[in-house]
Amino acid sequence: MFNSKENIFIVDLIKNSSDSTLLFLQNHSLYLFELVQNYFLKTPLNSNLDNEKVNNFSQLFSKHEDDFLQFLIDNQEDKIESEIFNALYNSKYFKLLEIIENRKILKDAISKIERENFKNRFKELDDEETEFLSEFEINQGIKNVERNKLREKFKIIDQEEKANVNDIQHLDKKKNIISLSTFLKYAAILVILILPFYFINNWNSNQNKFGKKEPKKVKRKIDSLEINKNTIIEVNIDIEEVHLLSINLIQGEGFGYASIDKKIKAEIKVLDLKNAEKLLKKLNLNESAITEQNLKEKNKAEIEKLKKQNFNSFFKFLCF
Amino acid sequence: LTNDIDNLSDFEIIEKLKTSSSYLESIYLKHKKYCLNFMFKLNPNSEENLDIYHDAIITLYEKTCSGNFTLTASIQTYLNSICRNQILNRFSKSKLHVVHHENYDEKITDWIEDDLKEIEEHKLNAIIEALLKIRDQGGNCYEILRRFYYDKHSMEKIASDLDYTNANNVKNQKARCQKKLNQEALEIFNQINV
Repeated sequence: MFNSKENIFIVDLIKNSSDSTLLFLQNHSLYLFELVQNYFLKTPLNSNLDNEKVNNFSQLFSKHEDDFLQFLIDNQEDKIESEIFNALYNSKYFKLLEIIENRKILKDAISKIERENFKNRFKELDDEETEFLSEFEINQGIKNVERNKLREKFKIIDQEEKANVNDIQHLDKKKNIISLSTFLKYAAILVILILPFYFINNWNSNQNKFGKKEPKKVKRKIDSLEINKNTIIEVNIDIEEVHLLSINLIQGEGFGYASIDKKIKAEIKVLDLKNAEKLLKKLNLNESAITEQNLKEKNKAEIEKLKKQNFNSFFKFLCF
Repeated sequence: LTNDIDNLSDFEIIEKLKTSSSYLESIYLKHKKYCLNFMFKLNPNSEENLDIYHDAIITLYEKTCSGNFTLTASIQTYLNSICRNQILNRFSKSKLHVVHHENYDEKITDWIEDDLKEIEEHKLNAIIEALLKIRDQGGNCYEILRRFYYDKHSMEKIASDLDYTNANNVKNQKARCQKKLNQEALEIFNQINV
């Protein structure tokens, strides 16, 4: 066994090999295995080791083959053999490895481990030596392709980002337009919702005008049956009915008006006694003495005012 | 697809980046605006700065994959420093309006290494063309070569990522792919040089 100092010494000798060094090694051939093991396992590949020195070293092996092989035979454990191989393989000391592999007896020894694998690996090494491209060139080629791919990818991200910014700006502009259109849309919906009420209102008014449609009948509690000029008939009534009644009074029969209080109570003031009978019928009331007339004109202004009030009530009803 | 990196520390992001390049997009977007603003003070040409930023992100990725990279500052500072180095290398320093800016680290000397010039142009073109051909043909060949040479992934990781039973299979497949690449590149090279 060499100690570490001897190792360094021998490694130095190999690096600076001369005839005297080789002679030294010849005399210590039995230690070559250890030398190989120690040198290649523990020392990184020395790219400065030139071919001449490798050849010298190889010759040394061949000259002292017997000693060397005897050593291997004495230490035939797979582990040691694998280590020799790995040491030489990892250090890319291929030529030496081939020389070892070509020795007949060593071949037998090696066959105990992965001989086929060994050959394949040598074949790979041979192929590698004759390949058109080196590892460095493959590496650089892939680097170039990948860099360009990444640059393209980044450009696409930039474009997408730019497009997003434009979209946001466009949306901001559009937002104002949208707010106007939204307003118009809601306005249109409101109109659509209001129109049927308006038409129903008009239609009811018209129907009532021509006396074709009667207001809805509702149960009423009659507070007073005696109707005279300016008599106030107070009835409990649905709000819907109050509305119809009011319109009927104002636009249709023209003989009275109604005021609506919060308690949903209608006060019907009889203005036109001539038509009071119709009113009574519509209100489902009994007949009573109605004798006076011609109050219609007198209360015209008051009726107009009531019309306005009714319209406002109708509008409020729609809104709320 | 971008990955959400907002909740990760810079150290965690670098660790993630080692395992997958998919984090690059998120990193790219996160630091872009600041880097461009930083560079604008040195060089007002925004388009050039964008190219420089692209190269800075590529450098970050390549350094991260190299295996011996340690982040000594924040990712933002690191990117700023690379961008600054590239601007200084690209343009004459005298033409630059030198602005002292605190968000870079002078000790960071990284920048995109352009060692492609060491290969003869025709040969490089042949390699690139052959690689693209193999990539377009589909299969795992290009992926194995890319992961091994560019991402610097181990055979074990490639085997696991690409569903091979063991690393030896990947090694054999890689040898076959490399041989194929050699043949293709040689063929293209000969065609170019006829």
